[in-house]
Amino acid sequence: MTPSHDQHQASGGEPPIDADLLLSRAVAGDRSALAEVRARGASDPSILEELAMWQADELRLARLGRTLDARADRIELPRRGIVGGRQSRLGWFVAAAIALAWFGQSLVPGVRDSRSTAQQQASVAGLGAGFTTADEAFDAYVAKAREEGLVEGEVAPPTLLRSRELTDGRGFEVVIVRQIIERRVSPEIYRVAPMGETGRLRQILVRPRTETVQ
Amino acid sequence: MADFPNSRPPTDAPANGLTDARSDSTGHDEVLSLAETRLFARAADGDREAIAEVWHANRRWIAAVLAAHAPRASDIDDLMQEVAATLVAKCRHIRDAASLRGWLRVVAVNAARMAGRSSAIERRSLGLFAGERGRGSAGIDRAAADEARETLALIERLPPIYAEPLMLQATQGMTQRHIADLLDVPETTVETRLARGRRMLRQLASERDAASGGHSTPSASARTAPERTHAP
Repeated sequence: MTPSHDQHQASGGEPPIDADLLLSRAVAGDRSALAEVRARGASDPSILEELAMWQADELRLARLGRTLDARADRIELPRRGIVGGRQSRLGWFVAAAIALAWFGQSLVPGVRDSRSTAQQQASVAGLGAGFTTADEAFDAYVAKAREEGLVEGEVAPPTLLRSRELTDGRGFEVVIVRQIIERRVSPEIYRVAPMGETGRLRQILVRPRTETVQ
Repeated sequence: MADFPNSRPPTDAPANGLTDARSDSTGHDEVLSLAETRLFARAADGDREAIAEVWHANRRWIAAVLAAHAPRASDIDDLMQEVAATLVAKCRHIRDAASLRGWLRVVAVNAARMAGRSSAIERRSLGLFAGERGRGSAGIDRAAADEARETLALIERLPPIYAEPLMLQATQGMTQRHIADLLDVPETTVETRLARGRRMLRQLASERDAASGGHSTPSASARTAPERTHAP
């Protein structure tokens, strides 16, 4: 407690303001507080020295603020919301995911009829050529598939499998799984069930119920 | 108690050039609030331009919040990108436009806390200004980056409840009322935290100066710093 603090209290006027509160207000630009500090400084010069140090701290914080602002101004919105990775490095993984998705579908035997095949061809055709990045191709795919009702959405956030820092200073390798919720129409599906004594798994064709059955 | 209108701008502007940002006029605030409400509502509806505008208008204070909460050596750029990505991905779920700013703060605080839990991020030792080293033409010179790093190191030692309002006021020029709204605490609490935060920062700076053989003011060390772990 400063001497002026005590004097103020002894005079029976308004309760004195805590020195830290007063200094904080003064460095934040409150002129009344600044005047009060100067008044107190007449009897307690240490508070003026203190004010100078607090103002120096404030200046350092302001300079830190400018540096932070410059950093913040460089951060632009990602083209699509993801959590846990850098968008710019996802192109490769997205391309791989698409390739795997289409490749995987082509391996499933007899799942699609000619109509769904036509839909698939339309989707592929919709991708077209001339994309400069895989991200663009992916965006086009999602947009087209949404139009066609094939894609309902994307599971967010993607699952992070692993990441590592690249030794050449280029950044980080991030391996993620992105999942797209698709809706397909198929005239028939297969379920897998163990058959016979050996318990081997076999595909059993399931057809939709006809109107008569329903 | 004497009235100290602490949110009004001083005529003798502080050297940090934050006079305008600290100005506080009710009419101006109302107009701003209306415009923001409309903007936030558009963003909540998924308007891409509005989302980008929200991001541009808020990213600086989000960086300040991250700096107040982030653990040491965490990369604030990464955390900023996380917040930006979450904004894009989830702002449509915010139905109350008025709460968007508070939601953004929570996203930022959570991102910083998650970074604290992730040892992988800490091991990276990237630091906020690591990318600035040796980058002469990047707009931030090395001396400024060094000083910023030192100041940030002190901020990182403050409890976040004191560091956050201090960063928001001293680096972003936010008024106490705006900080109180953002943190959802009374203005008096913000004022107390600001005073304690500044006192703690001064004490830490004095200790650092003393440790490095620099000048430490006797008065600074004579005054007792408040309990660092207690909220007012």
